[in-house]
Amino acid sequence: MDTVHDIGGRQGFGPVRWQNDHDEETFHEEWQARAWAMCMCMFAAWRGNPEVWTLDWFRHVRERIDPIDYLTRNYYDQWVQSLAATLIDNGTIRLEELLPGSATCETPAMADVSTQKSGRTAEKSLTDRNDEPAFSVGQKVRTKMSIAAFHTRLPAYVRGRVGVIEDHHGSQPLADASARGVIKPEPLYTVAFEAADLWPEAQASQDRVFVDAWESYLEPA
Amino acid sequence: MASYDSDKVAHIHEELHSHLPPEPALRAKALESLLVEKGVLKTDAVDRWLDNFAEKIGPKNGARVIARSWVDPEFEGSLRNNAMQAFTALGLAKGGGYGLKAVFNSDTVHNLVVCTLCSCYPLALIGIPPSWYKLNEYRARAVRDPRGVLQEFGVKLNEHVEVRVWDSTSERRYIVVPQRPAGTEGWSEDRLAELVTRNSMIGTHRDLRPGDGAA
Repeated sequence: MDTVHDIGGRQGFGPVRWQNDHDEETFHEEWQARAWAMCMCMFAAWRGNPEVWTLDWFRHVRERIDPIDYLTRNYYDQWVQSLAATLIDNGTIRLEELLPGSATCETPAMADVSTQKSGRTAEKSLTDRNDEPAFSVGQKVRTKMSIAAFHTRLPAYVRGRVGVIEDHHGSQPLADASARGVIKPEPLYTVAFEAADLWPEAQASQDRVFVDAWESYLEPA
Repeated sequence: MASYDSDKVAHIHEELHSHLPPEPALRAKALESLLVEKGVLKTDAVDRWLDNFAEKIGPKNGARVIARSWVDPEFEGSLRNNAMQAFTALGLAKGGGYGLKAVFNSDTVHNLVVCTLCSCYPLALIGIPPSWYKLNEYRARAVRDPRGVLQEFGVKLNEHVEVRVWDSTSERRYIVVPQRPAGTEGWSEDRLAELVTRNSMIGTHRDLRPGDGAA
């Protein structure tokens, strides 16, 4: 879906405020650290079990946050809301249980995360597949225009543009399918785009932008 | 079971927006408490995760790998060809998880890493990304105005230097290998590692100097 998350190349944004970030500082506030770790604990429990979760589904859940909230609320706050939405959706918790002053819950819906076995072996065997790639390094390709009915990792700013295959990485689960809970490996490439082919103001530029793209995002140019 | 129903979660978001307290810290606390209460999370799961992570993973791990590549040409080759293996060789990764690509700066090339679609970053290797990496301003501008962004970070590039921007759109991750600064001949690996900053591994810091650094 073309939601507001697909922000690459959007103009009008001001300076990057980086001056308050120091190398050894990880989180600005304690709640952010806890929010992040809570998400990571849940992801660890769910990883390898597409019946309850995939990372691309979680990404898509974040993409469905109200656009104004997406652009203005703190990053880790968006993680909290997305985790809550994911947990409500997959039946682990109910909305009412989260509300202030709510009655407490009845039954634990899941076991302790540390005892959960992940299905990583299955995941690995899938990603180890190596389908014959349709494109070769150095070949010109054009990215598809119509692609984003659901979740996709082909950014809007490269759609319909011509680039060159820079590298091939074997087959990786297609993000668009993973976001629907379907693990579907497909050849993955890095595609190089000339800045001049992406941006009207960059006609004289020698710079390049590299994007990882699955085979179904591409056609021969 | 996840529904994988986009509109359903959009509706859940609307409900959460309407009913949860606006204060982020309160929302986070409410969710963590509920998960602990339900037995979904162990009481100390979050603390243990944070302790474990903070102890083992951070920008210094990336700095160690880069410093080694500066003094050991064979290791540099390994970092170029299979960056994950280079981290594994130093005991800084278990391997797997995702592919890692090390992109090397030179006199004629400067690399910059971004994730325009969310905030992908090699956090299992070099820790949590800085806050600015996740800002809309950076995500929007890095692919379109990399030189303008770099200038704000104090990086001035000659016109003949090509900027390569790497948008982390798959599960592969990128790390920039900055150039070894002049005047560091004969330095120990540990001393060299201290020169490597977190920003230099993303590409918003180019010229490392003796006297800079994480430590």
